[in-house]
Amino acid sequence: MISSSVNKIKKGMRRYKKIISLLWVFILWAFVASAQNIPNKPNPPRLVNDFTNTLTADQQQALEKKLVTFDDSTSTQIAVVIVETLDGADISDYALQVGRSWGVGGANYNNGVVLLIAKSDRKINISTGYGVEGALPDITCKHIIDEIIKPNFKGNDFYRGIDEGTSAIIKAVKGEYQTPRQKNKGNTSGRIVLLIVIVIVLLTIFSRGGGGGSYMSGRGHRGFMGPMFFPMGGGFGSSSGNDSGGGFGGFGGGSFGGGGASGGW
Amino acid sequence: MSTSKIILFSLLGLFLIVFFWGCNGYNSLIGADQGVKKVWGNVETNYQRRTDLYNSVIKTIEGSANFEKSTLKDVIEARSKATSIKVDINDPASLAAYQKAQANLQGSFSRLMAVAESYPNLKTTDAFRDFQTQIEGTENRINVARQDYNKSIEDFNLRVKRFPSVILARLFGYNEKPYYKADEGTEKAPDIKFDIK
Repeated sequence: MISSSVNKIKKGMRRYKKIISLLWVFILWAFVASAQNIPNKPNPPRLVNDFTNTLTADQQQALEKKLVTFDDSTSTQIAVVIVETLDGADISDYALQVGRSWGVGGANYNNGVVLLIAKSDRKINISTGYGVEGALPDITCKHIIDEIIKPNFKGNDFYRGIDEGTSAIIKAVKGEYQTPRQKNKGNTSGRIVLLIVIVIVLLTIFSRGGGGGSYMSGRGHRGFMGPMFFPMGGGFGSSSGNDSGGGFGGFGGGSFGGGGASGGW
Repeated sequence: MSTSKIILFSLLGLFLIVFFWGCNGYNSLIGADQGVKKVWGNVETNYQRRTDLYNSVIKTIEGSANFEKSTLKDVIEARSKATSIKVDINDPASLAAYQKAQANLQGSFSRLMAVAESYPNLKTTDAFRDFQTQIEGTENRINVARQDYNKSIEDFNLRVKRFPSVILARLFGYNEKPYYKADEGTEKAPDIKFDIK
């Protein structure tokens, strides 16, 4: 009896240990996976991000203009990212991290596309946000890479490859996301109303208790209770910050799910 | 203000604080629970997507005459096993079974692909090239969905275990949920190579 129960405990311990060690492996793995050297979000925001000086300033400007125009008319954001090397990372994973951490595409429609080029690795990836997966299926991405970008890159014509590649992406996306960009959705006003109601309730409760100065104490409580009600807050958003002079208005917070295709040249 | 009034108001204040904390905590717990369900749905959808892709490959191969039957049979068996498993994400055993069945299916499918290599008229078709692209994309999506799932599990489990939210979790019967562990022996996305050149 006793020995069997001791055995049972031992068995349980062993299982527990196994689970713990597996967990550790997972955590380490997740850490390694997320600790890649993704370039920081460009500031001021840009759609064409050449970290290798492959394109001339004029070429960058021409591309940027084309992509910003497309963003303005359809709200679909295509980010071009050229890096020197991936440091051994998987290119689709790298592009996903860029897309997610920069927030390419709108948050509501997730309509962002990342065209990533790793120059010395000679690799190309097109990653699609959740919202454009329908318009830009993996096969289309692969075709754009293989038939349009790759031949140009082989002839060392990077600008032409990127220019024609992005034009093909634009063509593919057109028609599906004609939604105009919405500025500052209502969400926050609901919170403000709720806050006011709560303050009024607290004010009436506390002002019944006695005379002067109670108004002040009510305000004090609002300051105190505020963060308690909205611990997730701080996000009284101001998403449309620098909309100056027809330039790129900034990334919208779109998300990616691993869609797209990769290739090399 | 009399002492009893002060006590009454401070009690009322305390009650309000606890009440709002409780509501807030409970709501965020529910939010995290729903978040887990949503990302789990993503995992399942992507596995389903892969199974659908496998199906069309299997059909193509079935169509081609005199294909070696035993590997094909393995895949079809693994497929029916994988699709028959219903997962309850609160139950680690069913999650493990699901994962094993999916890994099995994937393994037998890559064996099928290896056999297909020796059928040159099959592997050089455009359709096959497209399959490769799609399967690659789907494996990526599965990977991402699994990582997202684990992240949401981490968030949820922290809420369930941390003080003081642990009180609410116990009160409303929320337990820890299992992680989706890396497949045995394959921490990375598997690569299926058709080797079309």
